[in-house]
Amino acid sequence: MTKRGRERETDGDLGGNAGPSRTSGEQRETEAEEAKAFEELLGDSLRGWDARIEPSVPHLLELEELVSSHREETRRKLRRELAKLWLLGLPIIVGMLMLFRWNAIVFAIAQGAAVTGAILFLAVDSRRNREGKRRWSS
Amino acid sequence: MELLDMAVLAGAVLILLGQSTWLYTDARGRSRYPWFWAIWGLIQCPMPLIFYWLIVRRRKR
Repeated sequence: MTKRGRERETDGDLGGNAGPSRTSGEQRETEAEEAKAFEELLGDSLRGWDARIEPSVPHLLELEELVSSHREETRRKLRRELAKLWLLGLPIIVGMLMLFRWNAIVFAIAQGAAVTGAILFLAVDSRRNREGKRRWSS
Repeated sequence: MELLDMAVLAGAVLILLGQSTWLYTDARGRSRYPWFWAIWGLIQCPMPLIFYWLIVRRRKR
């Protein structure tokens, strides 16, 4: 153990009140000595290390590119989904029109079934939401 | 099929597709079952619009 370490240990054991405590001037001197020693030992290496590390700050142009590419991707996804919807929609609409031309009563029943199904779905969803909220708040 | 019939059919198809597309994009932006509203919007008009207005748009205010 170093001399300084031993001194520190002794100070700790005595708790500052027991023996003759060091004056603040002495303490300051010791701290300055330690700082000097630290500077001599590691100062250059630390400065070199700091100089080597350069935080990579993204350029404004890169950020703009990132945002525009994300927007383009979102738009492309929406277009793809809309194309899917229209592909699905055409047979449904044509089917409903053919049903109407074939038999108006069956068409009316299908329309009624669609409304009933939709309302049932919405009611179940609303009930599930209310239950979830109640469970969350209690 | 007469010309008028054709025009009515084309109009119905356009209205249903337009309604369905609008419902899909709006519900997608609000994360409120876009495919459900879109498919219902393909089947009939204007019930899905009315229900969408009452359930999604009005309740959010």
